[in-house]
Amino acid sequence: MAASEYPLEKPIKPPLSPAMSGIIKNEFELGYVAELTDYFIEERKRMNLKPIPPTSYERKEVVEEIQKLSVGTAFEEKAKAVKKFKGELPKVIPC
Amino acid sequence: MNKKYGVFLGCTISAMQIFVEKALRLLGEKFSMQLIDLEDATCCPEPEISKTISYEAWLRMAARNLSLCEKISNELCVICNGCYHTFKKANEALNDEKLLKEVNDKLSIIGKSYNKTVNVKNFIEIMHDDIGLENLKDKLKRELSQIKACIHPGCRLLEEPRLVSGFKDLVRATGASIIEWTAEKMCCGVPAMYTNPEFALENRAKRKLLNLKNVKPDCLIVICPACYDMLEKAEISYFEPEEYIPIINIVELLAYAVGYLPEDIGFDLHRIPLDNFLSKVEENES
Repeated sequence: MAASEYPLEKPIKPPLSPAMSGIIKNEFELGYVAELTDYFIEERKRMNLKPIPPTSYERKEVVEEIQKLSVGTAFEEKAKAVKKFKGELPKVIPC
Repeated sequence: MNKKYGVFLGCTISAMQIFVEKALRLLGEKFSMQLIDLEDATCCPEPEISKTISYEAWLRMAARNLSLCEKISNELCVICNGCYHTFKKANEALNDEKLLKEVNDKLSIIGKSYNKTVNVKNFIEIMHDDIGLENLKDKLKRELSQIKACIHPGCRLLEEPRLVSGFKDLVRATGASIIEWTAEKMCCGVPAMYTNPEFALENRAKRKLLNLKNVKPDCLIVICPACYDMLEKAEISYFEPEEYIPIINIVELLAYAVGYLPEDIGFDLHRIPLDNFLSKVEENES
């Protein structure tokens, strides 16, 4: 598959920066990048929004679908490499 | 109008900028739009890292989300610049029949398929073209003509000049005027945060804000939640409270202009208070 649209979109070589690792880890294991914290669950209730959006925030089982779609890709490879990393990942800066 | 849209809010709006989600739902009621959540959606996925690490995985995941929309509506409403970029570019790539088949082969493993019937729409084009400027103006309840605003379209929006011009039209439709500024098109710094946070903050966000403060607008209007977050964090990090310029998402600005109260939208959740902006509007009303 063709990959790049911009000259700057080149394949990323290891090691990934901690922020990149955090993003890949969250996407692969949780299905999203930014965490939904208890504080915002309460604020969502106060604002009369669904406390937890009916997405992978609520339905953890859909993450399995993401993992199946990633099989054999560099995304899966990087996500598994990040999982093996024993150090502490920084909090992900939402994109 | 009663048009049905699948809504993809993405991570940042759902998890941190819930005032944008609330404003969107209020506008949906005001303009009789059916806004239906994409149930079981996951990250779009975000285009900066995921796309460069694995184009294949990025495309498959985007197609999965698009297939969820297909079951609800052929129109997908997206606010976030990053999510919009992902869906727009993935949809364009899937015009290639061979690629679409390859992706559908993978989607079939999880019992899904994508027939390529979704029209990805930015919130701006929904308000500008589907709702229409005249319809919007008819529903305005607040006069914002005393507000002088700067806009920050964000890099992904700058790829489509019609959206930038639509963005400006929507701001002007509220009565607010737009002040040009030299750093309008400068990146907020988000993509650089992943590799060099110091460069991103010092050489992008801070420099951009220094230029903004020379112009002294009443507010900065954005659409992208990532740009919002970056610029708000930088303002708080580098400037004193009396120097803060409030940052408002265009979705919130429109909800406020058509009459919703600050507490309806959740303006109190902004880390930079909107007090000066609100007093200026209220002065004019009284």
